[in-house]
Amino acid sequence: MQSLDSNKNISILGILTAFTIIIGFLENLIPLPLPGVKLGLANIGIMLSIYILGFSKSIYIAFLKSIILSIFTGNLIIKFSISLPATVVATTIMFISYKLLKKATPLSIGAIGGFIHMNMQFFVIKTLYLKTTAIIYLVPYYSIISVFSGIVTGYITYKILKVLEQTILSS
Amino acid sequence: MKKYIKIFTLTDIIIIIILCLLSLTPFLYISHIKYNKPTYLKVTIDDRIIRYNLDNKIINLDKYNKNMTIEVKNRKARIVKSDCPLKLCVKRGWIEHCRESAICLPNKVAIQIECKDSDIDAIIR
Repeated sequence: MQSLDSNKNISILGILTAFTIIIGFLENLIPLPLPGVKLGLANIGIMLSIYILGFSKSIYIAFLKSIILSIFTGNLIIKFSISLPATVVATTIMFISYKLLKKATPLSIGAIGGFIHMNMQFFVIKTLYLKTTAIIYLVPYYSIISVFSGIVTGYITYKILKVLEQTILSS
Repeated sequence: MKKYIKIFTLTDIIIIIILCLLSLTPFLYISHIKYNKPTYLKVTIDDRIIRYNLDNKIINLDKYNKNMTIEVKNRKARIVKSDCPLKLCVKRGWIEHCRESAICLPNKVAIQIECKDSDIDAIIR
């Protein structure tokens, strides 16, 4: 992506943050068969910012998303302590893999992000709250699901990026 | 359909396969740990509760005035013989896992596999 001038940059940062938070709030309304599984649609905004804005602004969005979403959806301390490390680590690793793997499309970047996010959540829950190894029974199922939901969000990001390239970013 | 497959590059497919394999690795670890090992056979006769260990043996309930026989083999248990009309407890077959049971209502006899409690009770979300 070509670099944008700073005014445009800031407005895109605001739009992406608002988009991330609203999508992250609304996706709680989509029913899924397993308890605690979300599609991870909020990841779309973070991936878009990785592709458009670069690393430091993506970390801003990750911070704001985990703080504001945990205020909105209740259970502030627990949700915040689980979601903040997961989101920040997932964003960092997604950015690294976006830089390293030139041929990887958003599909696999999203899959990596979903996988890291899910496993980091399990790691935090294991170290802070449920100090048993029994939790490892759940990990394989949840991380397979997270890989495939990551592919879905990556596909949506891919489509949005294609539209953005033709409209906003080319002008 | 072909249109959707064409989006995936070779790198994508390799990454996704690696991630799927990585998420299956905990199964290797799970096979080594065993929670909730079956430890006792609990036999309830009328109001009396008797616990047996799971070594191979044949338990005859004649001394409690029940015409029944219980067999324990390879850490599994079953009711071999009973004089109740429907023989549901005999048809239940082997029981081996935690809290599985075979019950004979007419004779008021129940057998159940008991386990030592693990360190968590339940996981609630």
